Amino acid sequence: MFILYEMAFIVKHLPKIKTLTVAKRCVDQVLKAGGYVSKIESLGLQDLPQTMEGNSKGSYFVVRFVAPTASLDSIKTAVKLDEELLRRFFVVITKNKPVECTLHDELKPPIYRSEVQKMIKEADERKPKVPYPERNVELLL
Amino acid sequence: MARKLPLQMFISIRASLSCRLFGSSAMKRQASVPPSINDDGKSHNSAARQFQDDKFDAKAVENMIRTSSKKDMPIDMTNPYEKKKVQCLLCRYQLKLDYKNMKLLSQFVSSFTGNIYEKHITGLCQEQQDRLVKEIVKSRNAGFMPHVFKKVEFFRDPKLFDPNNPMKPHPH
Repeated sequence: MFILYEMAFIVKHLPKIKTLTVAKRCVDQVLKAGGYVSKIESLGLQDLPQTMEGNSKGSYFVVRFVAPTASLDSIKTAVKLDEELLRRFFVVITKNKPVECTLHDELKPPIYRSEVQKMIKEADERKPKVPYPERNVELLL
Repeated sequence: MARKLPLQMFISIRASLSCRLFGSSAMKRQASVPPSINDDGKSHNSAARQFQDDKFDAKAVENMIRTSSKKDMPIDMTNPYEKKKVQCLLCRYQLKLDYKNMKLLSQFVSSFTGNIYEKHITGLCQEQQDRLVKEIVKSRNAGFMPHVFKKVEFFRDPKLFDPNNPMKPHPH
């Protein structure tokens, strides 16, 4: 079964030719595992958000590919072992369900909110706890 | 959505039809005989006499209601006076959050601490707030967005909300 993945990796600040070879290496891992690459995007050399292994700049790449489910592990490990990459990130691309905005409900006072009303219903439907046995008042006296 | 006419509506329709019937016959009489402008007492009597002569034919009225009831029924339509529901910013414009779109995600992050603003400040619905948090965590792990601060290039971006004036009071 083939699934659409997205891979985002950061390459160290190297001369252009070397970064190309590194990027090619990573994409070849996908092809070796029997996947098909649909898109390769280069976001260019950018300042990193934090120092990664002593580097302050890195080249960002985003690769979209289709691969069989069993081979994702091999792709991940191969890309992980590459020494010239600073970060790697894998995501499964899925269509998010459209959101039904519930803000109008959340702004109401708590009693009128549907969430709170559900909770009250659940509490009522739960079995009543066994009542605390009545104390022997004579003993207390 | 078919709505049943409540009883009061039915009575009012009936009354209005009867008035129409009255009115039509009264108008005919007035055309034939001009109204007499007498003293107050006499004019009242003349008006009462007109109404007394008109017999209220209940059956005719009911038949009229039955035949014209289909034409008079309300049209099935959505309530035109329904208030528009308040929607959060992302739902209103149907914006999609992406871990690569660091600029949009940074608008929901504090420029002082780098923390993600909570729901009562951002004004997002629960679902969108959860998605926002997930995407910010993704982008931080992927090395796109910083963990502890907001990128200086995004400081001048338009402000979507005022953290000192939240939608709901601060819980703390």
